[in-house]
Amino acid sequence: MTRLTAWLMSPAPATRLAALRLLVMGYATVFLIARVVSFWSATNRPAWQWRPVGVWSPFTTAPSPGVMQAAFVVTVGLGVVACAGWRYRFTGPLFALGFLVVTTHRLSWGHVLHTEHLVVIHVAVLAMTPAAAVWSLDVGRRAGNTPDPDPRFGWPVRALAVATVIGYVVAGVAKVRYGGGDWLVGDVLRNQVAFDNLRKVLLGDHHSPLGGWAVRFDVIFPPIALATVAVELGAPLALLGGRLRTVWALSAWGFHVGIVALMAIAFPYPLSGIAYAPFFAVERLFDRRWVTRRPRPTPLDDPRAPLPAECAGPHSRPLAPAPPPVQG
Amino acid sequence: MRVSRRAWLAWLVVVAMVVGLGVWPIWAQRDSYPHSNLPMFAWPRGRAEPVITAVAVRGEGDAMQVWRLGPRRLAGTDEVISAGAMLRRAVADGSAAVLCDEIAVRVATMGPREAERIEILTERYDAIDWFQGRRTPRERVVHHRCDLPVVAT
Repeated sequence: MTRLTAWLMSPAPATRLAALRLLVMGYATVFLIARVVSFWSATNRPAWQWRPVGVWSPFTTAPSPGVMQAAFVVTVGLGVVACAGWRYRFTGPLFALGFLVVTTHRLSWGHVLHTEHLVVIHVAVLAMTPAAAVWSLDVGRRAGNTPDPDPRFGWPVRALAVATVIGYVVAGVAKVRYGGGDWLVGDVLRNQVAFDNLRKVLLGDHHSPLGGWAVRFDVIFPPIALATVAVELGAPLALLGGRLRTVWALSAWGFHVGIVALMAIAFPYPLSGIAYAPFFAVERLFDRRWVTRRPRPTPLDDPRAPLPAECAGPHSRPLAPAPPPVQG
Repeated sequence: MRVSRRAWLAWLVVVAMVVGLGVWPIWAQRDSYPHSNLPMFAWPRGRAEPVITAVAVRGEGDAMQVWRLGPRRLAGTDEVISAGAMLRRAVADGSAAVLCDEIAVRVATMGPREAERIEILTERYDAIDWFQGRRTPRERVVHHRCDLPVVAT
């Protein structure tokens, strides 16, 4: 327990949590905008199709289109300001709430898609953490330097990683539980790929020609099925870090690429790589001058540069400032 | 003391996630949002599963023309899986007539213009055979038919 607590509470730089805020909340906001037609059409569906789930479960009738359209627009606006870190203590939780409400509404019409489950959890965790302590508009209004690495920036990162792991393990358990041995030997997967592509054809949508071609070959499905379950149930290994984490993240990403290739079904959050961002030092992605606003280097920073005239003379050369310690 | 209190909060969040997103949905077999047992692709499937569809039709018998409609015309959505789920539910709960009329209105405005009626039906093929060119249906049951409304042009 003590070791687990030490792992959970190990310090992380504020920039890592801020980077995750930019990535996750940026993704969520862009997702809303990219899927605006789907969200908008959900507000106009016939009342008889209303099958509320989640936070909408107590509501026996669907909310009016105007209310949901207003909620959608406000949520997108909140996403933008939360991403920018403006008054984050309020806009972060409000965006999380808005995202939960509008995404739940879209899924309350008889079928629960599984593309937003992890996103909404990641947004919720970030919303209640100090993810705008750096790289945010809030910092511009406060005096002070970049805070040191601290447990308050570390545990939310680990919580996000745990959420990702839970999602994969639950999906793996479902396959073993519902599909049983047939899933592991590939029969269920082969039939699933064939059925899903045929269903798309019959419903007049795009299907995967590769998947339709691949179902002719039964020998390829047992290894794919085993690899799928291994990736899903092996997700906790990613929490160990190091090479195991990297191999697992690449395997999980490849698994989603495979789903696109064989079934034309996209899970955009893992495909974007952002679902796996909590496992890595993602602040390095943003380590550019335009974000960090590091001061321009002066000649004194470069020991090989010629000294300016005011420094030249019999005195010893002034030392360049030591670089900050690497924080990982 | 501050770190300790923070550690309690961190543990609370992690345990709540493990229980709420992991243990509870698995135990309750509950597919909801944001908690779910994530059963996608998990259920056993045979080679010849029924698919409930809706098609636009013109003519009868050998002269019958059939148009597949796509999720936009079927359900006013761009999510094909949601459209399929709506068709399944409409047949199961006896509201196929209502859905048929809604589809007919969309087809009348969006096309195909040559269509005369909408049929909501169950089709069953051997899915693996289908992709090898053997496309004879094992079952084709029409649940409901409705004519396209006349739309002023």
